[in-house]
Amino acid sequence: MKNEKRYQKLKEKYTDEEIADSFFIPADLTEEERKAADAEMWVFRKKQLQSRTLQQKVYAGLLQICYQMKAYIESNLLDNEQSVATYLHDYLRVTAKNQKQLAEDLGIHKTRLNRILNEKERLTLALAYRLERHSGDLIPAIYWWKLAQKEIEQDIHNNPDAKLKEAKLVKNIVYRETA
Amino acid sequence: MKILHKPSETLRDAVIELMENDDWERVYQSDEFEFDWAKERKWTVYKLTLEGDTIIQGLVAIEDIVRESRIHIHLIENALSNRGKDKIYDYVAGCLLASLCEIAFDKRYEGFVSLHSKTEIISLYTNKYRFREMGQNLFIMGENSLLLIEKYLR
Repeated sequence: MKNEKRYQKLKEKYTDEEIADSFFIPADLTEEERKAADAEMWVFRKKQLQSRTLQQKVYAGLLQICYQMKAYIESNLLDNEQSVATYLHDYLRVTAKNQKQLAEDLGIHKTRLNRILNEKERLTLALAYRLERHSGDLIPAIYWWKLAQKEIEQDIHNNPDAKLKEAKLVKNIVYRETA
Repeated sequence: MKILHKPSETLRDAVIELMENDDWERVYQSDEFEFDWAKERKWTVYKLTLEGDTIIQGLVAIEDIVRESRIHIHLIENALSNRGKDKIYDYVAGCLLASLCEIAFDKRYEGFVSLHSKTEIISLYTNKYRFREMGQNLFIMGENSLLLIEKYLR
């Protein structure tokens, strides 16, 4: 059945507003019309992509990072490849800054940023706030923070040695299950 | 994301996921969808369900046009029970569309989503969702995509 016929059938039951509220119905285009519409879109899109300013590229890049972080945070996955360090490397690339420049922008020492980028130090809440502001509020601090929490969760699952090491330092145990 | 349960006027948690084989069987055997979704299977098809539920409240078929950095919508359809004045759930199509905007940001397309719309209802899409018109094409991007995400996914 053609889309026009379906649309007419729907119109018997619903108003146009109700149809638009529940459907995105494509037009019945001939092959020629579809090609023409696609060509028109391609010309428009190509022009847009080619004329993007640096600022627009940074904007697109930051939003990409933001929604990739959001998708990962909302998933139940724990993925080594999606760490604070990985996203910070992306952030450097997207903002076209080197480590020294970003450290200066954020008001931290460059060795501290380098340690975070090499996963030798964890991101703090204060730094998450600074990154939010640095991104023009496009990437919320809570995303950086939740990402850091996922890393800790991963550590708990994957680093039994650390758990044993810390357990040995406990001098008294307040509860022991009796047989 | 949340959809509105109209009878109780309360928001319910919903999720959008890729269709799986079992879902396709359910759609084929269901009377809830007007369009022939078997024809859309060649595209990427997402379903909207309530969290922890298998009942499909709405469907969307899309194509990722990488060369043009855009997501193209082939079809969106709410389940029969979510249409018209007696609908059970509201915001279904809005959530589906906003999720596509999110995907389009995630892919660094600046939230660019397009469709070839039926002429008769173009103005309704431009008013309700802030689509812009270009010949037979409708598209949304940038700030307007962000506004949709803000409205339906926050």
